[in-house]
Amino acid sequence: MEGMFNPLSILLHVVNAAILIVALYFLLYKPVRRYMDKRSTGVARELQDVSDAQEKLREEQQKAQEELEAARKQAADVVAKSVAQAQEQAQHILEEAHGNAELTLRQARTESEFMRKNARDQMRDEVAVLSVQLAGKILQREVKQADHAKLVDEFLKKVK
Amino acid sequence: MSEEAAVTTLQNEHEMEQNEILLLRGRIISGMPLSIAARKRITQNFESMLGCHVQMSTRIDKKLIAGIRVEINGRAYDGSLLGQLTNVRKMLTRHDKEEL
Repeated sequence: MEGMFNPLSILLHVVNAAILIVALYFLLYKPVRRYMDKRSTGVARELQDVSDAQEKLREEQQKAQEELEAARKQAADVVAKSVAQAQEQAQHILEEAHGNAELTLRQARTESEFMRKNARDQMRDEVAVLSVQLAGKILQREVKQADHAKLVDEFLKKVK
Repeated sequence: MSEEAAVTTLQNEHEMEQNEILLLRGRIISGMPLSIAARKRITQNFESMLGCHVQMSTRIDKKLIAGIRVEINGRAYDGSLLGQLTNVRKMLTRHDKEEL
């Protein structure tokens, strides 16, 4: 029983424990703590990096979305412009065709008028020629020597 | 050559030229037979008109119908019915063109 409460032993045990605790503190606790701190810092940094990357991704997504919108708008503008141009061209072609058709019609009318007048002139000429030929034949039958002498007299009067 | 000789030569040449053109030959084309008197009158008429002698030959061409046509000195004088009908025809056809 006396050996149970030996102060020296207790002291030694306490010192031992203290030394152990100190040793553990310096050999285990501090390195582990350091390691844990280091790891915490690393994790925090990585988390920050991830957060930054996410932010950057969000920004880029936003930018891409805006660019897409702008491209869609531009495409719509181009389509609208092309449609307007095509309509204008179609109108122009239609007007030109209309003009050409009118010109062709006018030319055809002029030509037809010319041909009609030509035909009329030809007919008149033919009628004149036939009439004169007929008159000649009649005169050949009807003219007498006295008429011939009269013609000679008239000729001589004119020629003087 | 002297001046007097040159003038004489020129005068002789002029006389020769006058002699050469003093007789013209022509032709009377008639639609009907012509009497001698008529032929003579025609000849005299042209002689007084042209101021020289005229010798005319005659020919009958029934195409003229009646009247005469005289060809002389490079010209033709048409007094035939055919000529008048031709003028009428020309007038009718030309008049139509002028109207247009």
